[in-house]
Amino acid sequence: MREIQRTIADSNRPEVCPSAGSAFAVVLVAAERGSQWVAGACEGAAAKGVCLGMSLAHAKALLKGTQIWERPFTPAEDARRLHHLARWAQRFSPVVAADEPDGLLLDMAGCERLFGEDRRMVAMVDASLKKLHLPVRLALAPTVGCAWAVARFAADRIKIVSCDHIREELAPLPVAGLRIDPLFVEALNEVGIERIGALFDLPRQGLACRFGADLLRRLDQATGEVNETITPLRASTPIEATRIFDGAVTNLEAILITARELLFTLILQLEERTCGARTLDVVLQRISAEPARVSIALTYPNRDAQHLWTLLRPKIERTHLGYGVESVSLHASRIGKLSPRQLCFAHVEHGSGNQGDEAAWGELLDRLMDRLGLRAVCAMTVAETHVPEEAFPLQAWSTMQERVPRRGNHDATGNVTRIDRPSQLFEVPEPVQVISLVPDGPPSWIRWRGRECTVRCGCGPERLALPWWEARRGASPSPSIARDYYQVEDDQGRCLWVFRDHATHGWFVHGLWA
Amino acid sequence: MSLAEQIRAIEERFGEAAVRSAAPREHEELSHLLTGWAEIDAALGGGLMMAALHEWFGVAPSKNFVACREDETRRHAWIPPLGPLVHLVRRAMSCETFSDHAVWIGRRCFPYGGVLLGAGGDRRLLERSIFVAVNGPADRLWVTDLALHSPAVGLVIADGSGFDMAATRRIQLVAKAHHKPALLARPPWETHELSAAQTRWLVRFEAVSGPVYEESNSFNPRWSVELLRCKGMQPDSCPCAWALEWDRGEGAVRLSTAVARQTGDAGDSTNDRRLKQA
Repeated sequence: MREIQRTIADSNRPEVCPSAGSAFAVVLVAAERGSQWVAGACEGAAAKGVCLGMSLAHAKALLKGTQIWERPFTPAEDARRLHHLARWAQRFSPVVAADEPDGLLLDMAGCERLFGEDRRMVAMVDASLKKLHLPVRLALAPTVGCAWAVARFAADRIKIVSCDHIREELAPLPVAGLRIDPLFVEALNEVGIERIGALFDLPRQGLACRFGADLLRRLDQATGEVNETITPLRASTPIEATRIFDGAVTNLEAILITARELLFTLILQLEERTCGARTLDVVLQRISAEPARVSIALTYPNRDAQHLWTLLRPKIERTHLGYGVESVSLHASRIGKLSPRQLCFAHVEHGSGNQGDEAAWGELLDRLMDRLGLRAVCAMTVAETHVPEEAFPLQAWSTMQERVPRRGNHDATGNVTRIDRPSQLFEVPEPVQVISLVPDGPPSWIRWRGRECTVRCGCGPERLALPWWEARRGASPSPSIARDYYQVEDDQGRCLWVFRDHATHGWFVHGLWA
Repeated sequence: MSLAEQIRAIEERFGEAAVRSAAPREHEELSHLLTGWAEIDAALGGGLMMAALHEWFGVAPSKNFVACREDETRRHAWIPPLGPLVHLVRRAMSCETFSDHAVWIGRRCFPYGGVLLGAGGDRRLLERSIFVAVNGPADRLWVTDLALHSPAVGLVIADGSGFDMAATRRIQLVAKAHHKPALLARPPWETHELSAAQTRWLVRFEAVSGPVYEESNSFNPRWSVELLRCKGMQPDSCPCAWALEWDRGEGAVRLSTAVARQTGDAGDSTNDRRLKQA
């Protein structure tokens, strides 16, 4: 049974904000390329027509007669303050996350035993935030996505959504409440889909095809079809090790020995926390120069000293030491959970095969990407399209973590049906000269790669057309909107996959069965 | 003294193999990889040797391959025999003892994703494949060597063009040491290069004999596969040329019974005889 999350989304504005009726207004001003524009405004200013992105001069004209407090827009400082507020909010729930730029997420599951029923709990949170002079909007909902949308777009300032009414509450809200790319919001609005409720009745396959799988993922997260977890704030001490030399050291060998010793110290800290490093940074403090930084990123959490040293050593060796190094420090800036390793007897491991394989797999990928570059190591993914060159794109392994999570045994793109396709597909279709016995008919003679050959047998056509919206906006690299594909066998025995391009009326070889 | 220290002391004195676990092994390692082509498996004595290097040359035209000047200028455009190679990888993946992943090395050897899908849209082979885009022979050799050393890799398929004797010997030794098959795709004009491979195969397109043009929905791509060398196999003891056919329905390669040939029929040209001697 799916775990129901009880979440409070809190949309707050950290700055002290006067009410709409007051005689002064607060405006956050951002400067870019010599122009100043409004990056935030209080409710009083918004009531007088000031909106985000507006030029400061325009805003001042609208607020004529009102005392204006101009404050610089500092997103980094805002984020820091938001994290402070998140730590403060841990008094209500142990699972609190800062939802930048202006939200807090609290997992309130199980907190009823401490604070009473839902309504009382929400009132208590609201009262506490009011004491901090923070105008907030609150929503308590079974899913993060639903709470996020209701807190920002519902008419009521405080709203509690029950498990049975998620769809009813989401339906009248704008599609921007799904946390999707603003470009997709605009595209949905263009075709008349302005409310979330309109998406419920549309076929899922078409939605994924036209607006991307992310839309479906967000929709499913909001309705609870797909689970979404909160990554809570955790207070943690940094995992690092530092060695300060008596004086400047220019001997590379000494620095390497020191770095290796620090690595062992760092691994002990990782073992204590049963973690592995995902990103490891080495900082060499140089005299009269900027610190030299060396960083390695790992595919899977790892704390194998030999592997880490294999990756680190060549990078340190290539670092310019300048006039000398004063200190060396290692820092695991990103870590991941690693199960304790089972001790083995006589080189035979029991019960930890998967973990060992994953570590070995990660080490192989790390070494390949370290030497060949991140883009050289790829995996083949399945895209929901019938355009042959786009159906199985190669994706760099380093970006594979961003893939859409799977639902059960299938991913969000649905099942894949195997269609008879050539074993080799050319990245760019190769032009070919063709003679057909009938106009627009199958080829009977071809000249490809400088060789003439007679077609002995063939079958087709199979017409493949691009979706009209892809062709219209030119998003696809494919040259035309429709192609007629033929499978032909020439007198040399080659089975070619040729097509006639409807736009240019030219013939191309796209692949072959080799 | 702890148990681990005692074991280490024994190993230091008597060698690493001195201490062995009495626990039963989970599975026995297979010595041969069944190709699924019954006659070829029988001829090889149970399939391709698992811990060895196997070279696949091709795909050559169906007529006797002669390296003319035109071909010399078009060496960049050779076509690796991806159909048979994908079939072998799929067979290897079906073994229970097969390790997790298959590594495809060299962009030329990357098959189209559609042929990696199994019957019923089975994505196992697609999801357990990793593709390493490297160009030069030195880089390809380094990746092949590294992948064969990794316990998480069960099979390596690499573009072997430009590999010399030393490179193939290195791969053969690593494959043998780690008990994994390595499949090299090589261009057909490199059959005369010295190699340490266990087996060498030449794949040709197989032309159909029939009318000049026939529009049909039933024709299947065909290849002839010729065994140029198999270490430990008695020469002329069995047929060494077979015909393979692409099964469009299952997306697999199977022996074509219609155009099966016996020893001697395939090598009727002087060029073929020279290839056999190689």
